[in-house]
Amino acid sequence: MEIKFENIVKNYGKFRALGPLNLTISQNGIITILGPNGAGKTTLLKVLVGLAKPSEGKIYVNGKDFQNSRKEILQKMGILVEQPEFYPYLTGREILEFTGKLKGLWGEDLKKEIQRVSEITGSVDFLDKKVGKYSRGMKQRLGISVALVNDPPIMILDEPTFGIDPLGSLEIREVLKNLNKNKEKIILFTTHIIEEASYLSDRIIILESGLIRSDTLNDSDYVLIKVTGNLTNLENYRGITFKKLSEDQALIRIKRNDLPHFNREITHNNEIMFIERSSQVEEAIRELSNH
Amino acid sequence: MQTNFFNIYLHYFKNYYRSKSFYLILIIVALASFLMSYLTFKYSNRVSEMLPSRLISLSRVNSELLMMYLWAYIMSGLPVFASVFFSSPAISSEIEMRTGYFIFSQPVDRTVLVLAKYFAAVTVTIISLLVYLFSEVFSIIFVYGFIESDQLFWSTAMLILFILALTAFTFLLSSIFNKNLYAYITSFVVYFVIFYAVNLILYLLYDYNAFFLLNNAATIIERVYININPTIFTNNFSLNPAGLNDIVLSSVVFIIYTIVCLVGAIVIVENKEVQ
Repeated sequence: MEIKFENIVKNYGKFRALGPLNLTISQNGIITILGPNGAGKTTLLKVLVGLAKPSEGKIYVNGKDFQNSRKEILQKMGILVEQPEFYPYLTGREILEFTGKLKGLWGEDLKKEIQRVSEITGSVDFLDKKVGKYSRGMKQRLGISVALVNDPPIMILDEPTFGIDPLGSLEIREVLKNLNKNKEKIILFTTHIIEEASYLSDRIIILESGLIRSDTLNDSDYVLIKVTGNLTNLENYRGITFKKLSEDQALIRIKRNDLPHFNREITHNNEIMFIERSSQVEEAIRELSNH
Repeated sequence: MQTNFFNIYLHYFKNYYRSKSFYLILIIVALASFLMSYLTFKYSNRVSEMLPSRLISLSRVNSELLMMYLWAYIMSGLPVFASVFFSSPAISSEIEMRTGYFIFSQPVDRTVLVLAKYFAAVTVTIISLLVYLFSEVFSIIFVYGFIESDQLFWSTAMLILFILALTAFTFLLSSIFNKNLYAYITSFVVYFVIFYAVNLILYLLYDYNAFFLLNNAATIIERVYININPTIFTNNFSLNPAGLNDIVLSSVVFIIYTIVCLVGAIVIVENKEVQ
Protein backbone atom coordinates (compact mmCIF):
# COMPACT_ATOMS: atom_id res chain seq x y z
CA MET A 1 0.00 0.00 0.00
CA GLU A 2 1.08 3.55 -0.63
CA ILE A 3 -0.37 6.88 0.42
CA LYS A 4 0.83 9.94 -1.43
CA PHE A 5 0.01 13.56 -0.65
CA GLU A 6 0.86 15.75 -3.61
CA ASN A 7 1.10 19.51 -3.00
CA ILE A 8 -1.78 19.39 -0.55
CA VAL A 9 -3.03 22.72 0.71
CA LYS A 10 -6.05 23.26 2.94
CA ASN A 11 -7.34 26.76 3.57
CA TYR A 12 -10.23 27.75 5.81
CA GLY A 13 -11.10 31.17 4.41
CA LYS A 14 -7.88 33.13 4.51
CA PHE A 15 -6.34 30.85 7.12
CA ARG A 16 -4.00 28.21 5.76
CA ALA A 17 -4.39 25.17 7.99
CA LEU A 18 -2.19 22.85 5.97
CA GLY A 19 0.51 22.82 3.35
CA PRO A 20 1.80 22.99 0.83
CA LEU A 21 2.62 19.46 1.80
CA ASN A 22 4.21 16.56 -0.04
CA LEU A 23 4.42 13.26 1.70
CA THR A 24 4.69 9.65 0.64
CA ILE A 25 4.02 6.74 2.94
CA SER A 26 4.97 3.51 1.27
CA GLN A 27 6.32 1.31 4.03
CA ASN A 28 4.11 -0.55 6.45
CA GLY A 29 4.39 0.23 10.12
CA ILE A 30 3.27 2.91 12.51
CA ILE A 31 3.74 6.37 11.11
CA THR A 32 3.11 9.08 13.63
CA ILE A 33 2.16 12.64 12.90
CA LEU A 34 3.43 14.51 15.90
CA GLY A 35 2.83 18.14 16.65
CA PRO A 36 1.32 20.64 19.03
CA ASN A 37 -2.34 21.57 19.01
CA GLY A 38 -3.25 23.48 15.86
CA ALA A 39 -0.33 22.04 13.89
CA GLY A 40 -2.66 20.62 11.24
CA LYS A 41 -2.52 16.95 12.26
CA THR A 42 -6.27 16.38 12.27
CA THR A 43 -6.73 18.47 9.12
CA LEU A 44 -4.21 16.23 7.37
CA LEU A 45 -6.19 13.13 8.32
CA LYS A 46 -9.54 14.74 7.50
CA VAL A 47 -8.27 15.57 4.03
CA LEU A 48 -6.97 12.02 3.66
CA VAL A 49 -10.32 10.39 4.49
CA GLY A 50 -12.52 12.86 2.62
CA LEU A 51 -14.00 14.68 5.61
CA ALA A 52 -12.44 17.86 4.23
CA LYS A 53 -11.58 18.69 0.65
CA PRO A 54 -8.09 19.93 -0.16
CA SER A 55 -7.97 23.48 -1.49
CA GLU A 56 -5.13 22.40 -3.75
CA GLY A 57 -3.33 19.18 -4.58
CA LYS A 58 -4.25 15.54 -4.77
CA ILE A 59 -4.11 12.43 -2.65
CA TYR A 60 -3.34 9.06 -4.14
CA VAL A 61 -3.80 5.73 -2.42
CA ASN A 62 -2.13 2.89 -4.28
CA GLY A 63 -1.92 5.18 -7.27
CA LYS A 64 -5.63 5.94 -7.28
CA ASP A 65 -6.88 9.48 -6.98
CA PHE A 66 -8.94 9.74 -3.80
CA GLN A 67 -11.51 12.07 -5.37
CA ASN A 68 -12.26 9.55 -8.11
CA SER A 69 -12.06 6.36 -6.06
CA ARG A 70 -13.29 7.53 -2.66
CA LYS A 71 -15.52 4.55 -1.88
CA GLU A 72 -13.00 1.94 -3.00
CA ILE A 73 -10.21 3.57 -0.98
CA LEU A 74 -12.33 3.94 2.16
CA GLN A 75 -13.08 0.21 1.99
CA LYS A 76 -9.39 -0.35 2.69
CA MET A 77 -9.24 2.06 5.58
CA GLY A 78 -10.13 1.84 9.24
CA ILE A 79 -10.77 5.35 10.45
CA LEU A 80 -10.97 7.12 13.76
CA VAL A 81 -10.87 10.88 13.32
CA GLU A 82 -11.36 13.34 16.16
CA GLN A 83 -13.12 12.12 19.27
CA PRO A 84 -15.92 10.14 17.67
CA GLU A 85 -19.59 10.29 18.52
CA PHE A 86 -22.06 7.60 17.58
CA TYR A 87 -25.83 7.45 17.37
CA PRO A 88 -27.01 7.55 20.98
CA TYR A 89 -30.00 5.21 20.66
CA LEU A 90 -28.00 2.38 19.11
CA THR A 91 -25.81 -0.10 20.94
CA GLY A 92 -22.11 -0.50 20.31
CA ARG A 93 -22.84 -3.89 18.73
CA GLU A 94 -25.32 -2.30 16.32
CA ILE A 95 -22.72 0.31 15.34
CA LEU A 96 -20.18 -2.44 14.65
CA GLU A 97 -22.75 -4.49 12.72
CA PHE A 98 -23.54 -1.45 10.61
CA THR A 99 -19.85 -0.81 9.87
CA GLY A 100 -19.20 -4.49 9.17
CA LYS A 101 -22.06 -4.70 6.69
CA LEU A 102 -20.80 -1.61 4.85
CA LYS A 103 -17.48 -3.44 4.57
CA GLY A 104 -19.11 -6.56 3.18
CA LEU A 105 -19.35 -8.75 6.29
CA TRP A 106 -22.57 -10.66 7.03
CA GLY A 107 -23.87 -13.47 9.20
CA GLU A 108 -21.42 -15.56 11.20
CA ASP A 109 -18.40 -13.76 9.74
CA LEU A 110 -19.77 -10.49 11.04
CA LYS A 111 -20.48 -11.91 14.50
CA LYS A 112 -16.97 -13.33 14.75
CA GLU A 113 -15.42 -10.07 13.57
CA ILE A 114 -17.38 -8.06 16.15
CA GLN A 115 -16.20 -10.45 18.85
CA ARG A 116 -12.60 -10.21 17.62
CA VAL A 117 -12.40 -6.41 17.48
CA SER A 118 -14.22 -5.87 20.74
CA GLU A 119 -11.89 -8.29 22.51
CA ILE A 120 -8.88 -6.45 21.09
CA THR A 121 -10.12 -3.09 22.37
CA GLY A 122 -11.62 -4.37 25.61
CA SER A 123 -15.15 -3.28 24.75
CA VAL A 124 -16.95 -6.62 25.08
CA ASP A 125 -18.54 -5.75 28.43
CA PHE A 126 -20.43 -2.69 27.26
CA LEU A 127 -21.13 -3.65 23.66
CA ASP A 128 -24.86 -4.18 24.26
CA LYS A 129 -25.42 -0.88 26.05
CA LYS A 130 -26.79 2.10 24.16
CA VAL A 131 -24.02 4.46 23.07
CA GLY A 132 -25.80 7.38 24.76
CA LYS A 133 -24.79 5.85 28.09
CA TYR A 134 -21.10 5.46 27.17
CA SER A 135 -18.28 7.38 28.84
CA ARG A 136 -15.71 9.21 26.70
CA GLY A 137 -13.27 6.33 27.08
CA MET A 138 -15.88 3.73 26.09
CA LYS A 139 -16.71 5.72 22.96
CA GLN A 140 -13.02 5.93 22.14
CA ARG A 141 -12.67 2.14 22.47
CA LEU A 142 -15.73 1.65 20.30
CA GLY A 143 -14.21 4.06 17.77
CA ILE A 144 -11.04 1.98 17.61
CA SER A 145 -13.15 -1.18 17.27
CA VAL A 146 -14.98 0.42 14.33
CA ALA A 147 -11.63 1.24 12.72
CA LEU A 148 -10.48 -2.37 13.19
CA VAL A 149 -13.50 -3.98 11.53
CA ASN A 150 -12.54 -6.19 8.59
CA ASP A 151 -8.83 -5.83 9.39
CA PRO A 152 -8.13 -2.96 6.94
CA PRO A 153 -4.62 -2.62 5.47
CA ILE A 154 -4.59 1.10 6.30
CA MET A 155 -5.58 2.48 9.66
CA ILE A 156 -6.04 6.18 10.28
CA LEU A 157 -6.17 7.00 13.97
CA ASP A 158 -6.44 10.51 15.30
CA GLU A 159 -5.25 10.69 18.91
CA PRO A 160 -6.58 7.21 19.72
CA THR A 161 -5.73 7.40 23.41
CA PHE A 162 -7.52 10.71 23.93
CA GLY A 163 -10.04 10.59 26.74
CA ILE A 164 -8.96 7.19 27.95
CA ASP A 165 -7.66 6.75 31.50
CA PRO A 166 -3.90 6.16 31.92
CA LEU A 167 -4.25 2.40 32.24
CA GLY A 168 -6.57 2.31 29.23
CA SER A 169 -4.09 4.41 27.26
CA LEU A 170 -1.36 1.87 27.94
CA GLU A 171 -3.70 -0.90 26.80
CA ILE A 172 -4.51 0.95 23.57
CA ARG A 173 -0.81 1.50 22.94
CA GLU A 174 -0.24 -2.22 23.35
CA VAL A 175 -3.11 -2.90 20.94
CA LEU A 176 -1.45 -0.70 18.33
CA LYS A 177 1.92 -2.25 19.04
CA ASN A 178 0.45 -5.72 18.51
CA LEU A 179 -1.32 -4.66 15.34
CA ASN A 180 2.03 -3.55 14.03
CA LYS A 181 3.86 -6.72 15.12
CA ASN A 182 4.10 -8.17 11.65
CA LYS A 183 4.27 -4.85 9.85
CA GLU A 184 1.32 -5.79 7.66
CA LYS A 185 -0.45 -2.46 7.80
CA ILE A 186 0.10 1.22 7.43
CA ILE A 187 -1.04 2.69 10.73
CA LEU A 188 -1.08 6.45 10.43
CA PHE A 189 -1.81 8.09 13.72
CA THR A 190 -1.56 11.50 15.29
CA THR A 191 -0.60 12.43 18.78
CA HIS A 192 0.84 15.30 20.72
CA ILE A 193 2.29 12.92 23.30
CA ILE A 194 5.95 12.41 22.53
CA GLU A 195 6.31 9.29 24.69
CA GLU A 196 3.47 7.66 22.78
CA ALA A 197 5.06 8.54 19.47
CA SER A 198 8.46 7.27 20.45
CA TYR A 199 7.11 4.04 21.93
CA LEU A 200 5.03 3.10 18.92
CA SER A 201 6.49 4.67 15.83
CA ASP A 202 8.50 3.34 12.98
CA ARG A 203 8.54 6.80 11.50
CA ILE A 204 7.74 10.18 12.99
CA ILE A 205 6.66 13.19 11.02
CA ILE A 206 6.60 16.45 12.89
CA LEU A 207 4.00 18.92 11.75
CA GLU A 208 4.03 22.55 12.74
CA SER A 209 1.80 25.32 11.38
CA GLY A 210 0.60 22.96 8.68
CA LEU A 211 4.07 22.16 7.37
CA ILE A 212 6.34 19.18 7.79
CA ARG A 213 9.22 20.27 9.98
CA SER A 214 10.90 16.95 10.35
CA ASP A 215 10.55 13.44 9.06
CA THR A 216 12.64 10.66 10.54
CA LEU A 217 12.63 8.92 7.17
CA ASN A 218 14.44 11.81 5.52
CA ASP A 219 16.44 12.87 8.56
CA SER A 220 18.35 9.66 9.08
CA ASP A 221 21.46 11.64 10.04
CA TYR A 222 19.62 13.29 12.87
CA VAL A 223 17.62 12.22 15.87
CA LEU A 224 15.07 14.06 17.94
CA ILE A 225 15.44 14.53 21.64
CA LYS A 226 12.63 15.54 23.89
CA VAL A 227 13.38 17.90 26.70
CA THR A 228 11.07 19.00 29.43
CA GLY A 229 11.27 21.77 31.97
CA ASN A 230 11.00 25.54 31.99
CA LEU A 231 11.53 26.57 28.40
CA THR A 232 10.11 30.06 28.62
CA ASN A 233 13.36 31.87 27.86
CA LEU A 234 14.85 29.34 25.52
CA GLU A 235 14.39 29.83 21.83
CA ASN A 236 17.76 28.86 20.45
CA TYR A 237 20.44 27.47 22.71
CA ARG A 238 24.02 27.38 21.39
CA GLY A 239 22.88 26.91 17.87
CA ILE A 240 20.86 23.76 18.56
CA THR A 241 17.61 23.63 16.60
CA PHE A 242 14.84 23.93 19.09
CA LYS A 243 11.16 23.01 18.38
CA LYS A 244 8.87 24.05 21.17
CA LEU A 245 5.79 21.89 21.55
CA SER A 246 4.55 23.73 24.59
CA GLU A 247 5.91 25.90 27.39
CA ASP A 248 7.55 22.90 29.02
CA GLN A 249 8.18 20.48 26.17
CA ALA A 250 10.48 20.79 23.20
CA LEU A 251 12.25 18.73 20.64
CA ILE A 252 15.91 19.13 19.84
CA ARG A 253 17.34 17.88 16.63
CA ILE A 254 20.90 16.63 16.93
CA LYS A 255 23.31 14.65 14.84
CA ARG A 256 23.05 10.91 15.24
CA ASN A 257 26.83 10.63 15.49
CA ASP A 258 26.74 12.65 18.66
CA LEU A 259 24.42 10.23 20.40
CA PRO A 260 27.03 7.98 22.05
CA HIS A 261 28.37 10.96 23.97
CA PHE A 262 25.13 11.65 25.74
CA ASN A 263 24.39 11.18 29.36
CA ARG A 264 23.03 7.90 30.72
CA GLU A 265 19.84 9.65 31.77
CA ILE A 266 18.88 9.65 28.15
CA THR A 267 17.00 6.54 27.17
CA HIS A 268 17.08 5.20 23.69
CA ASN A 269 14.00 3.97 21.92
CA ASN A 270 13.34 3.71 18.21
CA GLU A 271 15.76 6.46 17.24
CA ILE A 272 14.10 8.93 19.56
CA MET A 273 15.90 10.12 22.61
CA PHE A 274 14.27 11.26 25.77
CA ILE A 275 15.29 13.24 28.75
CA GLU A 276 12.55 12.20 31.10
CA ARG A 277 11.49 14.24 34.08
CA SER A 278 14.29 16.74 33.55
CA SER A 279 13.32 19.89 35.38
CA GLN A 280 16.43 21.77 34.38
CA VAL A 281 16.43 21.87 30.65
CA GLU A 282 19.37 24.24 30.50
CA GLU A 283 21.52 21.72 32.29
CA ALA A 284 20.41 19.04 29.93
CA ILE A 285 21.23 21.10 26.89
CA ARG A 286 24.53 22.11 28.38
CA GLU A 287 25.30 18.47 28.84
CA LEU A 288 24.44 17.78 25.26
CA SER A 289 26.46 20.61 23.88
CA ASN A 290 29.49 19.87 26.08
CA HIS A 291 30.03 16.55 24.36
CA MET B 1 -25.95 -0.29 -3.48
CA GLN B 2 -29.31 -1.79 -2.50
CA THR B 3 -27.70 -3.66 0.40
CA ASN B 4 -25.93 -0.55 1.63
CA PHE B 5 -29.10 1.47 1.25
CA PHE B 6 -31.11 -0.97 3.33
CA ASN B 7 -28.37 -1.25 5.94
CA ILE B 8 -28.19 2.54 6.33
CA TYR B 9 -31.97 2.84 6.24
CA LEU B 10 -32.33 0.36 9.12
CA HIS B 11 -29.50 2.02 11.02
CA TYR B 12 -31.24 5.40 10.96
CA PHE B 13 -34.71 3.96 11.36
CA LYS B 14 -33.68 2.26 14.62
CA ASN B 15 -32.07 5.44 15.88
CA TYR B 16 -35.22 7.41 15.01
CA TYR B 17 -37.84 5.16 16.55
CA ARG B 18 -35.88 4.79 19.78
CA SER B 19 -35.40 8.55 20.10
CA LYS B 20 -37.23 10.82 22.53
CA SER B 21 -38.47 12.90 19.56
CA PHE B 22 -40.42 9.90 18.29
CA TYR B 23 -42.21 9.39 21.60
CA LEU B 24 -42.88 13.12 21.91
CA ILE B 25 -44.53 13.15 18.49
CA LEU B 26 -46.50 10.03 19.40
CA ILE B 27 -47.83 11.82 22.48
CA ILE B 28 -48.80 14.89 20.41
CA VAL B 29 -50.51 12.71 17.81
CA ALA B 30 -52.27 10.66 20.50
CA LEU B 31 -53.50 13.87 22.13
CA ALA B 32 -54.85 15.18 18.80
CA SER B 33 -56.48 11.79 18.17
CA PHE B 34 -58.12 11.85 21.58
CA LEU B 35 -59.48 15.38 21.10
CA MET B 36 -60.86 14.62 17.65
CA SER B 37 -62.37 11.33 18.84
CA TYR B 38 -64.04 13.24 21.69
CA LEU B 39 -65.45 15.76 19.21
CA THR B 40 -66.68 12.97 16.95
CA PHE B 41 -68.38 10.96 19.67
CA LYS B 42 -69.83 13.91 21.55
CA TYR B 43 -70.88 16.26 18.75
CA SER B 44 -71.38 14.03 15.72
CA ASN B 45 -74.95 15.21 15.14
CA ARG B 46 -74.47 18.84 16.04
CA VAL B 47 -71.26 19.68 14.21
CA SER B 48 -73.10 21.63 11.47
CA GLU B 49 -74.87 23.82 14.06
CA MET B 50 -71.51 24.78 15.55
CA LEU B 51 -70.24 26.35 12.33
CA PRO B 52 -69.87 30.16 12.10
CA SER B 53 -72.58 31.94 10.13
CA ARG B 54 -70.13 32.60 7.25
CA LEU B 55 -69.94 28.86 6.72
CA ILE B 56 -73.59 28.14 7.34
CA SER B 57 -73.98 26.65 3.89
CA LEU B 58 -71.77 23.84 5.14
CA SER B 59 -74.73 22.61 7.12
CA ARG B 60 -76.00 21.19 3.84
CA VAL B 61 -73.06 18.80 3.80
CA ASN B 62 -73.65 15.55 5.57
CA SER B 63 -72.12 15.64 9.00
CA GLU B 64 -69.95 12.55 8.40
CA LEU B 65 -68.16 14.26 5.50
CA LEU B 66 -67.83 17.45 7.54
CA MET B 67 -66.36 15.50 10.43
CA MET B 68 -63.86 13.79 8.13
CA TYR B 69 -62.93 17.21 6.74
CA LEU B 70 -62.19 18.38 10.28
CA TRP B 71 -60.14 15.26 11.02
CA ALA B 72 -58.15 15.85 7.82
CA TYR B 73 -57.73 19.55 8.60
CA ILE B 74 -55.96 18.69 11.84
CA MET B 75 -54.13 15.81 10.14
CA SER B 76 -52.55 18.14 7.57
CA GLY B 77 -50.82 20.07 10.37
CA LEU B 78 -49.37 17.07 12.20
CA PRO B 79 -46.75 16.10 9.59
CA VAL B 80 -45.23 19.56 9.91
CA PHE B 81 -44.34 18.89 13.53
CA ALA B 82 -43.29 15.31 12.90
CA SER B 83 -41.15 16.16 9.88
CA VAL B 84 -39.53 19.11 11.58
CA PHE B 85 -38.69 17.00 14.63
CA PHE B 86 -37.24 14.13 12.62
CA SER B 87 -35.84 15.86 9.56
CA SER B 88 -34.69 19.32 10.59
CA PRO B 89 -31.70 17.94 12.46
CA ALA B 90 -31.10 15.17 9.91
CA ILE B 91 -27.93 16.62 8.40
CA SER B 92 -27.08 19.42 10.80
CA SER B 93 -26.93 17.00 13.73
CA GLU B 94 -24.30 14.92 11.94
CA ILE B 95 -22.07 17.98 12.18
CA GLU B 96 -23.20 19.33 15.54
CA MET B 97 -23.25 15.97 17.30
CA ARG B 98 -20.02 14.94 15.54
CA THR B 99 -21.48 11.69 14.21
CA GLY B 100 -20.42 12.99 10.77
CA TYR B 101 -16.84 11.96 11.54
CA PHE B 102 -18.08 8.39 11.69
CA ILE B 103 -20.75 8.29 9.01
CA PHE B 104 -19.07 10.42 6.33
CA SER B 105 -15.88 8.39 6.48
CA GLN B 106 -17.70 5.14 5.74
CA PRO B 107 -17.23 3.53 2.32
CA VAL B 108 -20.59 4.58 0.98
CA ASP B 109 -21.78 7.33 -1.35
CA ARG B 110 -23.20 10.32 0.43
CA THR B 111 -26.16 10.28 -1.96
CA VAL B 112 -27.08 6.83 -0.62
CA LEU B 113 -26.64 8.10 2.93
CA VAL B 114 -28.98 11.05 2.37
CA LEU B 115 -31.62 8.97 0.58
CA ALA B 116 -31.56 6.19 3.18
CA LYS B 117 -31.87 8.66 6.04
CA TYR B 118 -34.61 10.51 4.17
CA PHE B 119 -36.73 7.37 3.78
CA ALA B 120 -36.10 6.43 7.41
CA ALA B 121 -37.42 9.85 8.46
CA VAL B 122 -40.43 9.49 6.15
CA THR B 123 -41.17 6.05 7.59
CA VAL B 124 -41.15 7.17 11.23
CA THR B 125 -43.27 10.20 10.34
CA ILE B 126 -45.86 7.97 8.70
CA ILE B 127 -45.77 5.48 11.58
CA SER B 128 -46.32 8.24 14.13
CA LEU B 129 -49.37 9.46 12.18
CA LEU B 130 -50.91 6.00 11.92
CA VAL B 131 -52.29 6.43 15.44
CA TYR B 132 -54.30 9.40 14.23
CA LEU B 133 -55.44 7.68 11.06
CA PHE B 134 -56.62 4.56 12.93
CA SER B 135 -58.43 6.75 15.47
CA GLU B 136 -60.18 8.59 12.65
CA VAL B 137 -61.31 5.42 10.90
CA PHE B 138 -62.44 3.81 14.15
CA SER B 139 -64.33 6.89 15.38
CA ILE B 140 -66.07 7.61 12.07
CA ILE B 141 -67.14 4.00 11.51
CA PHE B 142 -68.26 3.62 15.12
CA VAL B 143 -70.33 6.83 15.13
CA TYR B 144 -71.67 6.90 11.57
CA GLY B 145 -71.58 3.23 10.71
CA PHE B 146 -69.70 3.81 7.44
CA ILE B 147 -66.79 5.80 6.01
CA GLU B 148 -66.21 7.65 2.74
CA SER B 149 -63.49 5.25 1.64
CA ASP B 150 -62.72 6.94 -1.72
CA GLN B 151 -62.11 10.29 -0.10
CA LEU B 152 -60.18 8.65 2.72
CA PHE B 153 -57.95 6.95 0.17
CA TRP B 154 -57.20 10.22 -1.66
CA SER B 155 -56.68 12.11 1.56
CA THR B 156 -54.21 9.49 2.81
CA ALA B 157 -52.41 9.36 -0.53
CA MET B 158 -52.07 13.15 -0.53
CA LEU B 159 -50.89 13.01 3.07
CA ILE B 160 -48.08 10.62 2.11
CA LEU B 161 -47.03 12.82 -0.82
CA PHE B 162 -47.10 15.83 1.51
CA ILE B 163 -44.86 14.01 4.01
CA LEU B 164 -42.41 13.13 1.23
CA ALA B 165 -42.28 16.77 0.08
CA LEU B 166 -42.11 18.28 3.55
CA THR B 167 -39.39 15.88 4.69
CA ALA B 168 -37.33 16.66 1.59
CA PHE B 169 -37.84 20.36 2.22
CA THR B 170 -36.64 20.12 5.84
CA PHE B 171 -33.70 17.93 4.72
CA LEU B 172 -32.67 20.72 2.38
CA LEU B 173 -32.81 23.29 5.17
CA SER B 174 -30.96 20.92 7.49
CA SER B 175 -28.16 20.43 4.99
CA ILE B 176 -27.53 24.17 4.91
CA PHE B 177 -26.90 24.48 8.63
CA ASN B 178 -24.37 23.00 11.03
CA LYS B 179 -26.53 23.66 14.11
CA ASN B 180 -29.80 21.87 14.86
CA LEU B 181 -31.41 24.90 16.44
CA TYR B 182 -30.99 26.99 13.29
CA ALA B 183 -32.48 24.17 11.21
CA TYR B 184 -35.48 23.79 13.58
CA ILE B 185 -36.20 27.52 13.70
CA THR B 186 -35.77 28.04 9.98
CA SER B 187 -38.08 25.12 9.13
CA PHE B 188 -40.84 26.47 11.38
CA VAL B 189 -40.41 30.08 10.29
CA VAL B 190 -40.36 29.24 6.58
CA TYR B 191 -43.42 27.02 6.83
CA PHE B 192 -45.56 28.98 9.30
CA VAL B 193 -44.47 32.54 8.56
CA ILE B 194 -42.93 32.88 5.11
CA PHE B 195 -45.28 30.53 3.26
CA TYR B 196 -48.37 31.92 4.96
CA ALA B 197 -47.24 35.53 4.46
CA VAL B 198 -46.52 35.00 0.76
CA ASN B 199 -49.83 33.24 0.36
CA LEU B 200 -51.72 36.04 2.08
CA ILE B 201 -49.96 38.85 0.23
CA LEU B 202 -50.46 37.26 -3.17
CA TYR B 203 -54.12 36.61 -2.42
CA LEU B 204 -54.94 40.03 -0.96
CA LEU B 205 -52.94 42.09 -3.44
CA TYR B 206 -53.39 40.12 -6.62
CA ASP B 207 -56.29 37.79 -5.85
CA TYR B 208 -53.88 35.02 -6.73
CA ASN B 209 -54.03 31.59 -5.13
CA ALA B 210 -50.38 30.57 -4.65
CA PHE B 211 -50.94 26.89 -5.38
CA PHE B 212 -47.19 26.27 -5.56
CA LEU B 213 -46.64 26.89 -1.84
CA LEU B 214 -46.30 23.75 0.21
CA ASN B 215 -48.81 24.80 2.86
CA ASN B 216 -51.34 25.65 0.18
CA ALA B 217 -50.85 22.37 -1.66
CA ALA B 218 -51.25 20.53 1.66
CA THR B 219 -54.85 21.71 1.93
CA ILE B 220 -55.71 19.04 -0.63
CA ILE B 221 -55.59 16.56 2.28
CA GLU B 222 -58.86 18.01 3.61
CA ARG B 223 -60.19 19.43 0.32
CA VAL B 224 -60.80 15.93 -1.00
CA TYR B 225 -63.76 15.94 1.43
CA ILE B 226 -65.03 19.51 0.97
CA ASN B 227 -63.28 21.94 -1.33
CA ILE B 228 -62.58 24.71 1.17
CA ASN B 229 -59.07 26.08 1.35
CA PRO B 230 -58.54 27.25 4.93
CA THR B 231 -55.41 29.24 4.04
CA ILE B 232 -57.22 31.89 1.97
CA PHE B 233 -60.05 34.25 2.88
CA THR B 234 -62.89 33.62 0.50
CA ASN B 235 -66.55 32.90 0.47
CA ASN B 236 -66.19 31.21 -2.88
CA PHE B 237 -65.89 27.58 -2.04
CA SER B 238 -67.42 24.38 -3.16
CA LEU B 239 -69.23 21.90 -0.99
CA ASN B 240 -68.14 19.19 -3.35
CA PRO B 241 -64.88 17.31 -2.93
CA ALA B 242 -61.86 18.70 -4.76
CA GLY B 243 -61.75 17.37 -8.30
CA LEU B 244 -59.10 15.31 -10.01
CA ASN B 245 -57.49 18.46 -11.42
CA ASP B 246 -56.89 19.79 -7.92
CA ILE B 247 -55.50 16.45 -6.81
CA VAL B 248 -53.14 16.28 -9.79
CA LEU B 249 -52.01 19.88 -9.31
CA SER B 250 -51.19 19.33 -5.64
CA SER B 251 -49.50 16.03 -6.42
CA VAL B 252 -47.28 17.74 -8.99
CA VAL B 253 -46.37 20.45 -6.47
CA PHE B 254 -45.46 17.77 -3.88
CA ILE B 255 -43.40 15.79 -6.37
CA ILE B 256 -41.51 18.85 -7.59
CA TYR B 257 -40.73 19.89 -4.01
CA THR B 258 -39.56 16.37 -3.22
CA ILE B 259 -37.23 16.08 -6.21
CA VAL B 260 -35.82 19.61 -6.15
CA CYS B 261 -35.25 19.66 -2.38
CA LEU B 262 -33.70 16.18 -2.30
CA VAL B 263 -31.35 16.99 -5.17
CA GLY B 264 -30.43 20.26 -3.43
CA ALA B 265 -29.78 18.46 -0.13
CA ILE B 266 -27.65 15.81 -1.85
CA VAL B 267 -25.55 18.42 -3.69
CA ILE B 268 -24.92 20.31 -0.45
CA VAL B 269 -24.09 17.16 1.53
CA GLU B 270 -21.75 15.90 -1.21
CA ASN B 271 -19.73 19.08 -0.78
CA LYS B 272 -20.08 19.38 2.97
CA GLU B 273 -16.99 19.31 5.14
CA VAL B 274 -17.05 17.97 8.66
CA GLN B 275 -15.62 20.65 10.91
